[in-house]
Amino acid sequence: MNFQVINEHVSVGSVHLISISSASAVKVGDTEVMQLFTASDTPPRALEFGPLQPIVAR
Amino acid sequence: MWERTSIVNNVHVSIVSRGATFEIGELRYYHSVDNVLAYQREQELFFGDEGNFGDYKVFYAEPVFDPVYEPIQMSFINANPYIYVGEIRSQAVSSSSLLQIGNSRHMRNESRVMNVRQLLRRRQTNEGRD
Repeated sequence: MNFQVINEHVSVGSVHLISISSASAVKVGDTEVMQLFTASDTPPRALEFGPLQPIVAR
Repeated sequence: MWERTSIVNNVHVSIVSRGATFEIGELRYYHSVDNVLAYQREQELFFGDEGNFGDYKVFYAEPVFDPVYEPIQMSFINANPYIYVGEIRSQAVSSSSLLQIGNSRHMRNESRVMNVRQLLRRRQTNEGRD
């Protein structure tokens, strides 16, 4: 497969962001390969009631 | 091939934290990892030597990154070899994120977060928890 790109004039006025987070990326430029991965775990059992105890494996 | 020049007049970033990067210029390889085990306790209490990433699956599970195999012939004509941006404003760059002005080859960002909240036992009332 042949893929040809012609990059013409690109001009952006202004970019306003609150935040860039969780393995994301904001780029002004060219990239070949990007691999972004994020994992977040808050299972129901992560809300614990009762006397505070040390962090233990479950 | 990856040879355009980026021109940004003004950048404003307040916070760069947790394995994040603000890069001006080129990158060949970029790899950043951010592991967070966040225990939120109702009472200020820390036992010292506690918590182990290996105990939670979210930290040892391997991401399924397919091998990069792209049998595509790509050709670029940079009729205009510049990328113009007037202004970039961001309050924060965090959790192994990247804000880059310039070109890069390979990047791999990883962020893993485990959140646990420990609350003191509450009295149960008819209206629900108080």
